[in-house]
Amino acid sequence: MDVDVRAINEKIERESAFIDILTLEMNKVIIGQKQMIESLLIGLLGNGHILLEGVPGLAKTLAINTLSKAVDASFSRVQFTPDLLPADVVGTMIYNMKINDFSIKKGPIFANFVLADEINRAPAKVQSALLEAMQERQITIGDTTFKLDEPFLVMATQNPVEQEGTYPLPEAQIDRFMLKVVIDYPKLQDEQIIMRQNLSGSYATVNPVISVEQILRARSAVNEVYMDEKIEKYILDIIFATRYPEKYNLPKLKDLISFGASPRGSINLAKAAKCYAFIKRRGYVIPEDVRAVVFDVLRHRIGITYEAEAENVTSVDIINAIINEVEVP
Amino acid sequence: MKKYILHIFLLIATITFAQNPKVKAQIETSQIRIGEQFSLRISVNEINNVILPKLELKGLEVIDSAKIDTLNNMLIQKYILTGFDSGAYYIPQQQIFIRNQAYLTDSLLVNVATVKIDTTKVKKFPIKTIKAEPYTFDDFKMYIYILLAALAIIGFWIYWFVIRKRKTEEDSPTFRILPPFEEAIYKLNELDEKLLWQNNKVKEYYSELTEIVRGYIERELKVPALEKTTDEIVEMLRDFNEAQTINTSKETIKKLKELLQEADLVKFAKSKPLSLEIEEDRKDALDIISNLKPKPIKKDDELE
Repeated sequence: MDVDVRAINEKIERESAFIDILTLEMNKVIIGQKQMIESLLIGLLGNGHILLEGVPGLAKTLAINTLSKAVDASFSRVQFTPDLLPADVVGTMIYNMKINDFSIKKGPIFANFVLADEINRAPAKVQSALLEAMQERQITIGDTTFKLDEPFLVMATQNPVEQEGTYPLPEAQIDRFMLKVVIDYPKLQDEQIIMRQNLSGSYATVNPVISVEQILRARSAVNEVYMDEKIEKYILDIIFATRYPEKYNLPKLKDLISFGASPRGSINLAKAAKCYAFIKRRGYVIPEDVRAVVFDVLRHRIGITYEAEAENVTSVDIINAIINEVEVP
Repeated sequence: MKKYILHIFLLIATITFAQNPKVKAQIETSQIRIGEQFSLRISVNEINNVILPKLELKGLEVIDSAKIDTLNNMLIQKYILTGFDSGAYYIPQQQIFIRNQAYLTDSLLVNVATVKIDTTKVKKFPIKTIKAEPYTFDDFKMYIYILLAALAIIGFWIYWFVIRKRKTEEDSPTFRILPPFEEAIYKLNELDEKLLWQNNKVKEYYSELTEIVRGYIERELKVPALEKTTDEIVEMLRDFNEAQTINTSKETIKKLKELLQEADLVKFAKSKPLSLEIEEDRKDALDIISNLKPKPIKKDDELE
């Protein structure tokens, strides 16, 4: 099939014009978390969900709240606790005395942007309810099934500091998150600005700069971003290197990896690379796009062995070794 | 009277018939010294239907027995005997069957005497050393196997590390052993000869062109350029240039960035540059290779 990349490029440039405005709007409130904002946009454009890991106070809630305001979409936040029930997330049937019948009370998941705070604090049944909704994009309460509104983006957070009283997400469920973003503390200069803003109490107001329709149109434009066969091969090489490192001149990694990335990994890596190219206002994917998202896409999809843990080798070290060995097209 | 004559006749006749057939055992001598051999001869004056017994002796030994000889209607069996212990020994009666009738030979006495040795008169010889056995294949078997195994190992080693390596080197293109610059020039010329872009294979042309440039950077600056993206390579060279670890100019780095970005467009965005642009990029590739060198390390005496 002959693809007119020039036309695609022009279309992407046109459709992605809102990215700069959206980023500017978010940067009014979120200081020094460029990577998190980019990841949120990738999740939003790639129709995926994001697992965020970072210590408390790094503006995780503020980021998704700001995004919802900038997009003019609904936002809800669920604080996951050990006594939380699935009904508290998805909703339940409540007896209505007026009409003498049960009526449906929708849960907080019925929003465009959902922040599932400290997802690993809730037991498996609640996590499953949320993750099923994330996957199916529909909720069934009683005998009624509701389609969730588009866009639907879940940003779940995990607190890496505390491990006691937590229910770590199983590998199969973690795989459902398109990206796992690890956020670090802001830089000194950025933190100075944050401190000043807070002390003066002069919070910038975020205005809706983009509509839901524009997001949906951008999503279809993302699908049109051209990905050359060479880039596909590069993505597959990276994924296969996580499964069979010895075939990629990385025999040392064989004992450190318990399982490699699943096909969902290659799909999401390709999708995220396309989204990144879109954010960079390009109609085609280049190796830089793959490299920009590879850590966020794969860090939660590579299982490490006890040997790796004993040697303090993380999945990020493994990804680093792989991208330094796999030849760029 | 007639009656007495008849009895005498019958008696004579019986005695005469009783001695016929006749068996006889004879020895050469009845006195021997220890180890001395003598012959025993058993003769039967009948040829047919004769069964000779197996000779069984006590104190004497059969050294040899000759074949049964037939001579003048007689059977003669000869044995060579000896004795190794002093004393008197009997050769017992031998039962011989002739026409199913048993006949016995006489028993014979043989004296075996010891020999007195006068040790004072015996000439003395030194004790002989142990006589070595003649060598056989088995004596050398182990050494032969070890030698063969050693030869096999040496042969394999020579094949693997000398012949095979030489063969691989012979098979490999000659530019492998060339310095990075010469190799890059050789490859560029080889690329020109392929006439790729002239045959509408622009993507392949740019893939090979950038690979030559990146391969040159990798070999010359000893950095993994083939595993780096355009931005990473450019960023790295800028850092090297600022740190003055390479001999190049900002213009060369800019040219490299433009070349790699142009190549990215061709490779990943189906861009089709004009012939003039392609030729320009080919020239740029040569310029980059010519103007991108590592800084020579100064020797101690030069520093002084």
